[in-house]
Amino acid sequence: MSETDLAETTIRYSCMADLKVIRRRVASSKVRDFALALRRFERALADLRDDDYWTGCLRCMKTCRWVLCSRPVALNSEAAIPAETMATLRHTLNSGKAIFPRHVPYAEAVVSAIQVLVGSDENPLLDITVDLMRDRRHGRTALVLPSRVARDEVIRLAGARRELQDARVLVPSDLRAQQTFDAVVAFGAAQWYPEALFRAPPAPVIYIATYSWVPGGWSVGPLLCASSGAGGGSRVRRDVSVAEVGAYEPTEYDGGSALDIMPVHDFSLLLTRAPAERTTDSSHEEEVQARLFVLADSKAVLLDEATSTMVVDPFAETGAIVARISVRDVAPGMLLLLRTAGGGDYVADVANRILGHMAKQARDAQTLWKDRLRKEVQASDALQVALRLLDNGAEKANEVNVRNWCSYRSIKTQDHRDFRAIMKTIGLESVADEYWRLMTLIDSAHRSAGHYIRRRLLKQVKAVGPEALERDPVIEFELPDAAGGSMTALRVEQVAPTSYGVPYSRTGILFPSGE
Amino acid sequence: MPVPAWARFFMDVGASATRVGAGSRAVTACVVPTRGFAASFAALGYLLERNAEMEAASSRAEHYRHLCELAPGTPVTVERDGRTYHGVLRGTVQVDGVRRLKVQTTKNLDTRSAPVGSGGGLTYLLDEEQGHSVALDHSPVPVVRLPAHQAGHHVEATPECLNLLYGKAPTAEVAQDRLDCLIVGSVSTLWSEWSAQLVGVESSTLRAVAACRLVDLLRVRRFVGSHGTYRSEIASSAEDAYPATDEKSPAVIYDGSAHFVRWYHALRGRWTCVIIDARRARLEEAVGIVNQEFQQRAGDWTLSNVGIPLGVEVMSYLVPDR
Repeated sequence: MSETDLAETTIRYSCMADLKVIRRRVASSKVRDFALALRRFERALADLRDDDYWTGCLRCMKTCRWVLCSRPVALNSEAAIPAETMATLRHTLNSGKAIFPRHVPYAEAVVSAIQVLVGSDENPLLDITVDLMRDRRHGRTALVLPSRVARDEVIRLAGARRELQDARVLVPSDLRAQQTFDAVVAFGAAQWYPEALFRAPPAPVIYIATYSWVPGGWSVGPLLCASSGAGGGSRVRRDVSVAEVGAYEPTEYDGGSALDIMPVHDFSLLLTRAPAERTTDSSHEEEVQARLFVLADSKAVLLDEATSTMVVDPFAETGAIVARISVRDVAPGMLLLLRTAGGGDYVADVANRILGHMAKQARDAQTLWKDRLRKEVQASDALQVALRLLDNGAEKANEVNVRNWCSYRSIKTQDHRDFRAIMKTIGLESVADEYWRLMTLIDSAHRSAGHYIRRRLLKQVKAVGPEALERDPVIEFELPDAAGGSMTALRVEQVAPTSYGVPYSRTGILFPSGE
Repeated sequence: MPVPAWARFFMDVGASATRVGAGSRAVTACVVPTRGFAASFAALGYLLERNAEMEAASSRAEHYRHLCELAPGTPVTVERDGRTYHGVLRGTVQVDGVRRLKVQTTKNLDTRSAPVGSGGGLTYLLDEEQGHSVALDHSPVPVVRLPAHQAGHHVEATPECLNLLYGKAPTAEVAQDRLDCLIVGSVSTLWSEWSAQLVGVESSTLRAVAACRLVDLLRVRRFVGSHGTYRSEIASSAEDAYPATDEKSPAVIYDGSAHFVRWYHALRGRWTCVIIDARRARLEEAVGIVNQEFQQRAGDWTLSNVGIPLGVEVMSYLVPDR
């Protein structure tokens, strides 16, 4: 459904106005006993939680808890308890008895609880979901999972239940589409989902199906500071809070946060895994502010946030499914197009092909004036250079622009007067017009390359089809005529909340996320 | 079919913004569940209200000039303090450097409450602002009131939509090109909204049921063609270049966080509005910017008579006029 549909927009506002968030609790002694055993084990470990000996073991246990609490899968689901988990846990425990005699009994209690889960095909969260749908007789329904893990399994399980046969199984990034439902069921805790689920609800009723012991205590408050009554003739009409159905069971989790159950992405640790491209190009040593993206297929990538990148976005509000957008605008759910082999900027390579025999001359000229400008900055600083540029006739010289102009990834200035001022400052005034012509050629070639790649990709995207674009985490695209040959579209799973200063050589290269 | 409440809200926000005083600069931020149509209706509300103001101002000036040029002795009626009086024009006089129209009243039209001794001795000195209370007297018809707006028109095509927006006989000033509102956003997205047929556009200043396209009402320069006048323009921030126009617009509306974050520092109007979609990228950045501005605001500014839809957040404030 298009975002430009007036009726659909009205429904979206109605969903917001009528919104009811209902937490439906269900008891399961098996899941509770496992979660409590794990909680006690974590507390017993205290500072040892970060000890290398226990980290792998703990990760297996926490993943099991997370999957069972956040997905309507069977307690013995392979997604929660992979086949090799038990063997790994037992091995860790056996060899740890001598080293950690005080802690191993706690771990053994967890393993015993997992053993109980392995023997059970109960699915309490799916059962309660079926009950909700049966009681309320909702029409269009969606089940929302925190991420794509076990999504296919949930689709299969829901499809086998008559009440959920027509339900869509989505992840939060799918909700960027304008589609609305009569009811949405999320699992676990509201905090595990983006606030947008509640600020822009896709349904007038959102159920949160969860276990009796999972901590609650959550609401969505105002975003705008004046909304909280700070003055200014402004206001928010109401906060979003949760109605409880089913008994809460106080346990050792009481007083804690549901966020403690959710695995936390250690972006800083992930950052250390980003490999640096081996290069002799000094430009690649310059530090840039980069965004870190966790991608499907256990991959991650750093991208310079000052640049743009090609994405495939099935829910693009502009309708442009293939588009080049600012790295800052890349969001979970989009497919990030990256070069399968070679790394680097595929646009530049295609642009060089378009430039043909002019490529070398133009690129050499680009490198020369950039090198000289950078030397000027190194000899003093960006502010001093900006002042000299202004004296030499520049219009928009300031520290930020000077740094941008120094970057090898910028091609030219927007204003010819700025370029002339730079040429004069770095002693190339005599060739300023010729260099401007060459930079304009490169700029034009880059635009043509972008259009060319986009056209080729659009053909491929049409061949793939909309369902695959919304569903598949990884899609390969062949560009037979383009330098580099192929590109991979990887679904963006998470975006680090902050940017990192890294050498440019570490950007644009896929590396394992370790997930 | 009435305008949906949420759309009316955005029209009211836009209409309210025309009351930003001279020398002031105001900002309105709206966090919404979907960006769809929000900027468009805010722009429409702003344009309709501003057009109504221009029409009123222009008509008043012309009317007053016409009265002043009429021969002394011309019979008129004049409204004063809720009553209508017969009168005759007695030319003009300069008072403190301001031209004033002399209207000598004869008697009260409402004979039951006629002032004792109202034999025509009372003369009002009316300035342009007060001139609207004077009308030509076509006795024996006591008072003739022409409706301020035409109602019940069914508009099929663009020209009728234009009439609804600009009046049947727009004055010379109103008919001129004028950039009142700049919308910064995605051209393709906004075009999809604007090119669709809307049934039932109705507002306080547009009292008609209409089937028309927003693009015809907004009079977007890029799409207006050579035959019509424009009132608004769209600036795409998707392009690398600064979305500048050759005219300064009193109102700038950002259709989404990303556009706002990118250009807010450079592109502001006397009224700046930002539509922040709760589902879209750069929500936090946009919210951070407006919250910081709010903390450093020059003053409070209230949106009057605006019914905020449930779940929509709105914040308005004044910023220093640089």
